Amino acid sequence: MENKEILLKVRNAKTYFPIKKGVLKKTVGYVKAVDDISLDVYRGETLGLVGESGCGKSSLGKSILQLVPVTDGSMEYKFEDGYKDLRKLSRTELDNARKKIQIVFQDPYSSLNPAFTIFGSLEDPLIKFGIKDKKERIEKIGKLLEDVNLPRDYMTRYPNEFSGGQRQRIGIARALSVDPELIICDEAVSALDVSIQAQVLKLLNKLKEERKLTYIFITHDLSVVEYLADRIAVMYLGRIVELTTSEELFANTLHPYTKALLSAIPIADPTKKKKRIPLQGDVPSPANPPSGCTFHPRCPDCAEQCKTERPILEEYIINGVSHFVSCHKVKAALEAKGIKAERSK
Amino acid sequence: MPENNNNDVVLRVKDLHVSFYTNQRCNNVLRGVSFDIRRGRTLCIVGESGCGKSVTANSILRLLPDLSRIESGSITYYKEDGTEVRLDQLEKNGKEMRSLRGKDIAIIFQDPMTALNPVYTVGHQIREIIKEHKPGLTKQQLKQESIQDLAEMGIPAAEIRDGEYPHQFSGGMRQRAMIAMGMSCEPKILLADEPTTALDVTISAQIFDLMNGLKRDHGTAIMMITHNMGVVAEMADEVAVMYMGNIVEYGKVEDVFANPTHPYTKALLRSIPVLGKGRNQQLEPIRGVTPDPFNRPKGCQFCPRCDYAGERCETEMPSEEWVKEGHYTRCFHFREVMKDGK
Repeated sequence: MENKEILLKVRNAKTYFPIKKGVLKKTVGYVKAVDDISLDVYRGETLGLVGESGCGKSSLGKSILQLVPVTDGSMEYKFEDGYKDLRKLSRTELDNARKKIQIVFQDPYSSLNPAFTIFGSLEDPLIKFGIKDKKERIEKIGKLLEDVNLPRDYMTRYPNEFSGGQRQRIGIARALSVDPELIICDEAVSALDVSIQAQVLKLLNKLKEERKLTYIFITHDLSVVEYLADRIAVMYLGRIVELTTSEELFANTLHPYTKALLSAIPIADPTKKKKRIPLQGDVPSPANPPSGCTFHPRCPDCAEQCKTERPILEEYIINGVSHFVSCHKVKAALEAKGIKAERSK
Repeated sequence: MPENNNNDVVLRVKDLHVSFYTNQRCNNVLRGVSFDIRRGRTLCIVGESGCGKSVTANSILRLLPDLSRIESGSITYYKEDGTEVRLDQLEKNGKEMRSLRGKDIAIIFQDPMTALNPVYTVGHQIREIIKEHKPGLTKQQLKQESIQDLAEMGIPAAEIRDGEYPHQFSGGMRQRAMIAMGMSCEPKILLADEPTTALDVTISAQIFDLMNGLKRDHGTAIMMITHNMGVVAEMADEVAVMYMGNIVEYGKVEDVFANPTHPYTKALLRSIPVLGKGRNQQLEPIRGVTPDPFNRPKGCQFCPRCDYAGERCETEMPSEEWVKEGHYTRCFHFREVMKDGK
């Protein structure tokens, strides 16, 4: 991969939520929402995080922002004065870090306070981050609304006066208000109707160009992520099973879960009848994940080794493109496709 | 809509108007909807939220809320023995309607968690329907039937699952239980109201296979409501595109996708990212928003957002135009739309 600037280094991140039971609230187990994830986010890219519900993609997003307590690992973000671990920041430092990293939530209905006007909602982060003059704030918010293609005078209205797509754009405006570098979009378009979804997707792409933003785009919709993302990380039960560039992922799908996921997506073209790879059963509970490779009970290509030994995420270089995959049978998959790959350290 | 009255048609909806009355205001939710549901075929109704797709399904089963009324039009159900039943004229919760619900026409709702009763076991809820429609079965037989229904839907360990409560089921399992319930009396028509919207793709693929199996093995007619064009392409034989209470385009799925004749269908197809086309595809969002139902455009409902709109569109609602066999559209300018291609 070319020498790109790494904005965020996540190393062995673990977020476990305790399960408490009984009168004494004794911890009886853990839900391993994020289980040993390492990844790099480059400046200026869009990294897509995909997976089914309960695979930990939202937890990972929230962990990066330190909105949930992270159990273990490190998340180093590049500030002006070098990399600092977000987990070890003091309260004030964390506030400053959140000026750089912002989040857009899934549900545009519950993420805006219904009792505040749009101005009220957007004003808070500005006060927090130091614009004391009210006129200046009005000016800035007006500009923000125009950036997300909404008229300036909408700032005096309340959230109930807006449609879902408009609200989502207000959510984006709020995230932009502090001029962040990294925006985590947590299912930002999933709740929208298709015709509106396209508007928001185009807006996100436009803003990225204009403001040199970096996105972590969390979604379950692979066709959306394919349109937006430079690189895609596929998650399953708290772990990354495959991570590579968008083109490479669709050209050389290596992990059986990714293959099944791709085959399950209905394509809006009735002439294309494709063969589905059926997956048996449901996603297992992250509180009690299967032994070995967590995908093995549903894997159509499961071997003895998979049941006992947990595969690690290894990097292969295929045609000069880095391709991370965590599967014991990846060699066989590569050979079957006749792809030459080098394993990188 | 198609007039050929062959025996395939099990349900015909003709020029259906439904209104909702709230706060002294009237919302004309359905404004002349017509379509046929055929034996062993799947009709997909596709449209954005608020366009009236769920209302259509609910009015067939007469499950509309109290403040609504079927103003005009007809819903005719053709029984196997050739008799016709006018569903719109039956008493809403009368004996006849109740005897049809679940037995001849069944519905699967979008959210299985709210559609199942949390305080009864899943088996009990399935048996409730069987008891209603097949009286005289013993307890043992009933239990056997419900277990068999669950097993047929691919639920493992059905004997144990039968005695469990909905919260012990996962999302996909609950939806299977709902389908099991819907299919327990082998209905002729299955209405599915966004059956997989709340589910993950791998699980919805399983549900689709299940529904296709029913169509194949039992000749069930399926009417499926969805907002996902991908699902339509995968499942449908015929497709009806709805916008603001009208079916704007109706036809065989291949025809509609290859030659969309209504600007809305075309715009809809252009605004979705298609898997496998990568990052270079041009998305063209539909401009504006869906109009407020209490403040509708006077003529064609899509007119304010349409690129083809002319003067006539502003004042007059287009009637159904015949494009080709089994392909209808509601647009004055459909020839131009067709000429411009996809």
